[in-house]
Amino acid sequence: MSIVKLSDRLTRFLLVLAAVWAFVLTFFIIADIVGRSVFNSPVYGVPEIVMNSIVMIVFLQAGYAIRSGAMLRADFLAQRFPPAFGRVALALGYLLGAAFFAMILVGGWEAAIRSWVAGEYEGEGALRVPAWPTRFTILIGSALACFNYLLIAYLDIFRPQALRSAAGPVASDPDTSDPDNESP
Amino acid sequence: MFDVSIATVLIVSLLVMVALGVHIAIALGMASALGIFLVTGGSFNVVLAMLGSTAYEALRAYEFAVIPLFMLMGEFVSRSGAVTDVYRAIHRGLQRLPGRLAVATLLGNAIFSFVTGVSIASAAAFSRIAYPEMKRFGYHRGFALGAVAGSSCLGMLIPPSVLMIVWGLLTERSIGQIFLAGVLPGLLLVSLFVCYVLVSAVMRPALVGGGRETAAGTSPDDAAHQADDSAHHASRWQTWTSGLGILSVVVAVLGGIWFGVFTPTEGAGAGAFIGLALAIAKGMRLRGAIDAILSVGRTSAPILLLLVSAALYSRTLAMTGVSSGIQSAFLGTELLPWMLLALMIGIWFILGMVIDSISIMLLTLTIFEPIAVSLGYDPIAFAIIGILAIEAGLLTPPFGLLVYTVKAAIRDEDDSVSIMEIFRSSTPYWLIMLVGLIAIVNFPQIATFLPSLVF
Repeated sequence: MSIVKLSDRLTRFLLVLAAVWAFVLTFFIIADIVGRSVFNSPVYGVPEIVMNSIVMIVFLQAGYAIRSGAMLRADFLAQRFPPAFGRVALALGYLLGAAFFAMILVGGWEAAIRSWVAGEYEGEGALRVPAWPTRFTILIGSALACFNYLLIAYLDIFRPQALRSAAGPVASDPDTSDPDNESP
Repeated sequence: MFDVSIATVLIVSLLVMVALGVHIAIALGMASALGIFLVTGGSFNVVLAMLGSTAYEALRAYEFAVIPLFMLMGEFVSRSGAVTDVYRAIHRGLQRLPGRLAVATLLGNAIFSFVTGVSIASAAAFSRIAYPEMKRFGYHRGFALGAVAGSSCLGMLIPPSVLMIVWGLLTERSIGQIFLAGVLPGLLLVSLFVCYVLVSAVMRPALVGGGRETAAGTSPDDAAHQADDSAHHASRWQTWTSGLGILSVVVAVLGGIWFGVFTPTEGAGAGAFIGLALAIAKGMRLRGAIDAILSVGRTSAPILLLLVSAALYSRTLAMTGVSSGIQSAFLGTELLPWMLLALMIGIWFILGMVIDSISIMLLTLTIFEPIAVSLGYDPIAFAIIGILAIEAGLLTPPFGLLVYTVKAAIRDEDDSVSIMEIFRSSTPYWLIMLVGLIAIVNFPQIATFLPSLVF
C-alpha cells in the first residue's frame, strides 16, 4: 500500500501548493491595482500570470478533488440501486474518469514538448509568459488525476471500507469540514 | 451538419451517465469525446487533440480567477465572525418590531450575501447564530428554521454569487452586468420576505413566541440579557470594525464594478484582500488563515474542473450542430414565447430537485440561453430569471440542499425537527421566489435598470 501513501502525499502536497498559489494571486492583483491607481503604472504581466496560474491551479487540485470525493455528481438514482450494482456503476464511472484524464494526458503530450523546444510564450509586449510550465502542469495533474481515479475504482470494488473511512488523503479537521464541503 | 442520430447518442449517453452517478464533469467530458469521435467519422486523434487543447485553453482567461478569489473573500469574512456582530446589532436595533429576530435573520442574511457567493455557507452560519436565539424566545421551530433556510437563498441571488459568475462565464456575458442586475431583484425578495414575516407575526403571534421578545421587562431571562447588553457595550468597537469591514468589502466589489474602476477579477482580488485584513483585525491567526486557504482549494477545484468539461461540451455541441438543431426544434414549435420560457423554467425546477445548481447550468445553458435571446428576452434579465429558478430547487423536496444543511447544522441544538417540517416552513419563501421570478419576467427592468445606468 506504500504507493497509495506516496500518491496521497503528493496529492495533498499539490493541493496545498495550488491553494497557496491562489492566495498569492490576490497580492499580484492588489499590486496591479495599487500600481495603476497610485503610481499610474500597472504591474505588467499580471493578467497573463493570473490566466496561466488558474489553469495550473485547477489541474494541481484535480487529484485532490477526485481522491477526496468532492467531485459533483447526481446520486438521486444511485442511492436507490442495490448496493452491489451501485458499487459497480460507481467503479465504472471512475474508470471513465481515468480514461478522460488519460486522453488529456495523451492529447497534450506533444504540444507540451513542442512548446518547450520551440519556446512558445503567451502575452505580447512587455512580459512574455512561457507556455511550457502550464502545459506540463496539466500533464502532471492529469496523470495524478488518472491514477487517483484508478485508485478509487480499485478501493470501491475491493476495499469499500478503506474508501469510506479515510474519505480522502486528509483526515478532515472537524472545524473546517461541514460548512466548507459544499456544492453550491 | 446536424445529424439526428449523433445528437441522440450524445444527449442520451450524457443523461445515462449522469443518472448512473458518474461525476458530472466526467459525464460531460466523455459524452463530448464520443460526440467528437462520431462526428469526425471515427478519428480518435481528433478527439485527443481536442481534449488536449481544451484542457489548456478552456480556463486561460483572466475572468476565471474570480471563482477562487470570491471564495477566499467569503471564507475570510465568515471566519472573522463579522456577520455575527452585524446580526446582533441589527436585532438590537429593531426594538419592538413583531418577529424581530426573524427579520434580523433575513436582513443579516441579506448583508452576508453581499460578501459571500454561496448559499450553503449562509445556511450553516445562520442556523448556528440565529436559530438558538429564536428558540430561546419561544419561536415556533419550523417558522424559525424556515426563515433561516429561505433567507439563505439570497446568497446566490445577491452579488457576488458563484452562480452569476458561472452563468457569465458559460454564456460569455459580462459578469459585472449580471452582478448589478441581481441587486434590485435581491432587495425585492428581501422586502417580500420581511413582509411575510411581519404579517405572520402579527396574524399569529404564537409563531414568534407570543411577543415575548418585544415586551421588555417580562422576558424570563431579562437579567441575563442586561448582563449581555453591557458586554455588548464593551465590544462596541468590535461591532464597528465588523460593520465597516463588511461595508468596505461591498464598496470595493460592487462599487468598483459600478464605477468601472475594477473588473470583476480585480474586485474579487480586492475583496479577498479586505476580507483577509478584516479577519486579521478580528483575531484570525495563521492557523485559521491556512484553513481558509485550503478549504477554498478544496471547494473551488471541482467547480473549475466542471468548467473545463463544460467548455469541451459546448464546443462539441457547436461542432455536431446539436445545439442549433435543438434550438430550431424548440423555435419551430407552435408554442408562444412565454410558453417556451415556462417550459425552460419547468425543466430547471425539476432538475433543481435532483442535481446541484452549477451542474444544471452546465447541462442546459448552451441550449437555453440562445433560445431565450432569439425569443427576445433580455440576456441579463434572463440570467437573473434562470438563477432564481435554479436556486428555488435548493428549497424543494426531496433533495433541497439548503434544508439538509440547516438540519445538519442544528443537529446538536435540536434533533427533533424533521426534514419535512423544515421543507414545509420554507414553502412560503419558495412561493415568494416564484412571485419574484414572475415579476422579473413581466418587468425585466427590475433586473436591467442598474446595469443600464452603468454599461
